[in-house]
Amino acid sequence: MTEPIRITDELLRLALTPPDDGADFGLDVSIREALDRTEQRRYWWTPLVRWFGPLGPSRQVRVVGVLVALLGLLLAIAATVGTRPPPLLADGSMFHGGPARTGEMAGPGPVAGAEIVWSVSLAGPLRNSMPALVGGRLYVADGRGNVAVFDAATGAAGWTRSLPKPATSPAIAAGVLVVSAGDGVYGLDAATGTVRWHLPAAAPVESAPAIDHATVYVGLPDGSLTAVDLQTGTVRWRTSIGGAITRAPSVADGLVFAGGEGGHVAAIRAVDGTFAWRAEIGPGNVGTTAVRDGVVYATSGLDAEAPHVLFAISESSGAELWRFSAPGDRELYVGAIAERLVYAVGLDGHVYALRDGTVVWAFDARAPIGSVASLTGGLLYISASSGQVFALDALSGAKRWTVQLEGDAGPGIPADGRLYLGTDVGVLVALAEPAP
Amino acid sequence: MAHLAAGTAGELDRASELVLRAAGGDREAYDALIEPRLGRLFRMARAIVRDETLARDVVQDACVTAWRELASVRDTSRFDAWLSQIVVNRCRTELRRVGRRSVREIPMDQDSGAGSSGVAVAARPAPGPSLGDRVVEAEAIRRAFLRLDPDDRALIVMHHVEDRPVAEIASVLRVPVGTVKWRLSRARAALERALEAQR
Repeated sequence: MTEPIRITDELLRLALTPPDDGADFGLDVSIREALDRTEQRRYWWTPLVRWFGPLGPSRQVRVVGVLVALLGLLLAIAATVGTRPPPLLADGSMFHGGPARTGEMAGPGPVAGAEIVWSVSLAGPLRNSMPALVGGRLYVADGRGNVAVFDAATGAAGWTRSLPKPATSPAIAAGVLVVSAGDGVYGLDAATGTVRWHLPAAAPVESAPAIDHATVYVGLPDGSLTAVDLQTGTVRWRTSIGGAITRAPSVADGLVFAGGEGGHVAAIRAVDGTFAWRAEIGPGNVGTTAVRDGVVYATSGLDAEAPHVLFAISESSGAELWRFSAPGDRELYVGAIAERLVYAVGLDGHVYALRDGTVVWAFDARAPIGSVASLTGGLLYISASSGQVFALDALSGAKRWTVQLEGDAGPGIPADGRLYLGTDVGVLVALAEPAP
Repeated sequence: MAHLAAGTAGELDRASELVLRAAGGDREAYDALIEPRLGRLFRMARAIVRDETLARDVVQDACVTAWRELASVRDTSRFDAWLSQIVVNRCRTELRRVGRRSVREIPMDQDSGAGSSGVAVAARPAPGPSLGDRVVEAEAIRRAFLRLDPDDRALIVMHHVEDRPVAEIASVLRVPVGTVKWRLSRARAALERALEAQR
């Protein structure tokens, strides 16, 4: 007969403490030799031992240090943000308003009506060429290669510069005016018109440049989309999309979108020029792309006897979301993009307001519309080849006012209660509401 | 049992000074710091690993590790807890290594005085205790102890053999006091089960 053992501390000590407890164990030779061979580890504070001692700063000092570092970081971020120049791309600083080419601008433009405030004659025509407006100065590039600057308030002329023809819609940022011309792309000093850099091309460059984050993006006739340093003109990357690029690229969300001859559309990473995706949207040329809210809009079949279609494409994947063809199958362009409406304009003389590919309203200008539109304050400004300029209610398509100009009117910039635009007979015009 | 960690203010000041000097590379200070602690560390290691040679290796390695890493001691008053932690961790590592290397055996201690039957030493005859009974019981506990995992061994040695308070063990193991209590309870239960298994 046995009974369980009761475990007590005394029994545990008896069991686990050998009888020779207190055995001698000192720093014998082997330990000393091992220590002699061992170097003490160096820590990040080792060089600071003079101030903090061998164990480094105390916990309190470390906490304060981390807090100071965080505060410094926050201040640095705040300082960076605070000193960052205002967005390089104010509305009107480039073709179709900005790098995304939505056509939506800050405005305001004329609301109740319009009349000519001033007009000046240019040395060449403005065919679908849009002025650039920055700091109260209008920069114009005409079909004969002339680049000129005018005071937006009075129309008074400033400097002029002749480049190989033709020149297209300029873009301006950080004091550099970028113009595509007959033998390449130019970076001009916006204050003086002097050439700061020149990117040569073997054929006329028809693609209007886009500027985003101090980089110029422009399509070249050899089919390459090219990224250029705004200040120096140094090429950062060059990527061929497969066909001559004759329309303006657009930029949004770190991607550059461009279409070319052959129906190619590509999304290219702005950082390194690699492809995000490529798509084929049919024969013919592709118009200026525009992007908003994750959707890229592009029209196909330009300059060709081919179906003329407006495509809505996923910005992230390149997948088609929807498409639209006008009844007469004439050429279409992306006129402007609002929050949920896309305005297509066409050579059939119509403006189509589309929601997810479905026509919400249509307006007949009774003359081909070959220019992109401008959108601000709920008004859509349309220029037709008849020389008529329309202001339409963006929601309903109702006509608010119209003005007749001489020649084929180009796209306008609504700003300061005015609408600035040019015509193909070489006139630059400022429209404003009539005085009461 | 004397504990340097719970020493007088003067001892703590002296130890802190030695830690600072040793962390700055002063070997003499390190020798003076470590030597008085070696015996106790060795006994703790030997109680945990139940092997004198292994315990010597553990303490020697711990001495070298402590010298190398001394500047990482953030609080000089925690030096003893930190040093014990190194020894305990080293014991656990060695026991796991040994456990992986061989099938666990339960050797018979030469001084046990028990019979050849393992079953006979697992319980004591009724009724009353005697010196012989206590020796038999101690041997049964030693054999049961060898069945415990390294963590349970370390806890039982620190608390029941070295008589360290729970708070000090928590400081050594860097776990909450409540966790130490729970682990101790678990370790004792494991020991009881191991004893029961011998019956």
